[in-house]
Amino acid sequence: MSAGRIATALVVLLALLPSASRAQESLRVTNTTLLEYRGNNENGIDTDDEYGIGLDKLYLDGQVGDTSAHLQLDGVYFTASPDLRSAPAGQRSAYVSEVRLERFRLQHEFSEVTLLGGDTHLQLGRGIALSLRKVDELGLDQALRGGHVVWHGETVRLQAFGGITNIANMDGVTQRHLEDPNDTLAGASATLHAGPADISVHGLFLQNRVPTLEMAGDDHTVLGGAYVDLPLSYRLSLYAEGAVQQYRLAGTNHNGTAAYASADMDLGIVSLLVEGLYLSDFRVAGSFDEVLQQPNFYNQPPTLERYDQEVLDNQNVRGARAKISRPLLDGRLVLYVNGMFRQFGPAEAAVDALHGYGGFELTYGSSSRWFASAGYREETQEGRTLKTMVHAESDWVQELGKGYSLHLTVNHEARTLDDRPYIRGTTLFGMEKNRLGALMLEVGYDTQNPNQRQFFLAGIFAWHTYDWLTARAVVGSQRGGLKCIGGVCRDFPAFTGARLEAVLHYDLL
Amino acid sequence: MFRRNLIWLIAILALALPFASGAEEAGPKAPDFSLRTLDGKRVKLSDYEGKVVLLSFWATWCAPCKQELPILQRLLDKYEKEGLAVLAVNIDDPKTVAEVRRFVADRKLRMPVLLDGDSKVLGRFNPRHSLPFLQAIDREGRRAFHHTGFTSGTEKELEEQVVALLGSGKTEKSESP
Repeated sequence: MSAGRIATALVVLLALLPSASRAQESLRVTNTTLLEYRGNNENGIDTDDEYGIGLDKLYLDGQVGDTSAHLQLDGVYFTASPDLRSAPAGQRSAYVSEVRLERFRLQHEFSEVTLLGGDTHLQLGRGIALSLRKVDELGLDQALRGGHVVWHGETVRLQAFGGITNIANMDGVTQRHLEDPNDTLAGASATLHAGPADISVHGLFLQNRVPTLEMAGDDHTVLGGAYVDLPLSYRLSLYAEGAVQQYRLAGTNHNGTAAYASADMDLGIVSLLVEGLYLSDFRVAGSFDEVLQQPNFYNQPPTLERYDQEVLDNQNVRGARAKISRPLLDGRLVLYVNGMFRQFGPAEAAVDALHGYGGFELTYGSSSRWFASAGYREETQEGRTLKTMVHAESDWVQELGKGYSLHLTVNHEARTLDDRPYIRGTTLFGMEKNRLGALMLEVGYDTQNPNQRQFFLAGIFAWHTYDWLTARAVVGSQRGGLKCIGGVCRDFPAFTGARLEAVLHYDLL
Repeated sequence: MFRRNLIWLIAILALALPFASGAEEAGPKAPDFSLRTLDGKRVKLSDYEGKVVLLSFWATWCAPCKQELPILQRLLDKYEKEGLAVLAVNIDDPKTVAEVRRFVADRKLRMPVLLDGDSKVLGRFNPRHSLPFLQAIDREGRRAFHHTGFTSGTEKELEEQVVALLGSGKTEKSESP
């Protein structure tokens, strides 16, 4: 991204400021600054250690009347290129210092029509056909760069979109530079609102920019799908979605099929949620990413698993799950049990996964909580056990008065992989003070690989006296994964070193 | 090239800052949006002009959100007649979105639950996408205070802020520098 293009985009936005001020419209500024030193994370690889990084993400969200604009400018600077230390001369580093206009968007709302140009996140149905989302600031962020038009009628909603796929270019986990896939994507959907029900059909075309095999011609996908959402009442709600696709990959044609259904029922004494999933050779994948060593996937079907469960294959799946829950104490205590069976992989080498767990979620006092669960999961193939996991989790926040609270989060997993046992877990303990911050100690362990770091210890200090400014410092080492600190949930990358993060968030106009 | 780009970035920030000091007392207008509710209705933010609105962005996997939502329900029960509305905007992804309806029903939440499947609306209020995120909007549809995260003790301060907004009948300035 050239300085000229960045400057032009920002000057256009700044030119709107005086008129925005007169019209009393808005400009919200959000800025994240990250200073970090990554030491030796003892993962057995010495090409990702001992460097410093300065990162700034500036977001501007402006609105004048029915027109809104969004810009995201990312600046990143690395003090060293750890991957070049023992590399042959002339090799380019994957740690790239740059300033980049990462996202831009201009949107105008007419009475029934929305026109959007630039980067947009998109999802069709429950993500079986398409799911381009931003999960987290330092995590996955996929968008479509192009045009999007939506017509919202009283009973019908029509949309069409087209452009090229665009990802966040610095990988939050490895901090390496990822190239934009720039795959061509176009699609449309029509949704009929019939009372509370939605009936929708959609179509999608994807043309990969880089074919898997140059000599075999291009890779592309054509997909058609539909869903029905029937929220009949709070006692019964039904959802069903299906899709078929044809895709060409490395000169070979494939046919994919997907079906998903869920039902939510209030049975009086208990509630029941059931889900079923069938995916046969189904994938919506773009060009191959050389750094991540996998294609860019543009769909995200339901998995039947928990939010933080590793799911290695979601292209060939047959399975179902049921969750029974029972609220008590006027909804302040909810008990639940969950059972899942999921067969995945190609039919000739299918793996059976079973997962059962149960727990409770209790909120008490004016703002205390205790959530706990435990369960067992296993994967078998032709009668042979591949993996097992016994897991237990607890998240406890006890208010102490005057804005103080104690926070203890414990996650423990006792696992086996091909009969070899190992354990993995994290314990987070500390004190939080409303309108001041949090002081936490985090202990983690992972004994899977004896050649890698097995014990993690970090101190975390968070400061949030003002709504417009928060700061956080971390020193030590942390396992990766979803964590909630100081009341904010983030998907953290694995880390060893020291990190200082400051977030500004305020309304300029 | 990098150094030149960095100079541009600093220059832009420096240019923008004077506008902060020139900001008027009134808070800025909140962007309007339209989303589908759990029970199939279409809701627009502008439908709630004349009310104080608490816009709460949440997900079923977010523990502080689970703590905050019952508190917002209690505030709604207490101040609804005085003009308070709470809109709970859910951003669960396809992995967990099936849980949303049962979550709401089990916890006896009665506020409208809006589905922001691609999290576009969250992105307009909080481009970092961190959760929970609470945006208060005054009776004239202007942004008032916002909170990122939820910690014990927030509920008392939140009630005071809501009461002030309900009582003022006019716009309050967002807490900005």
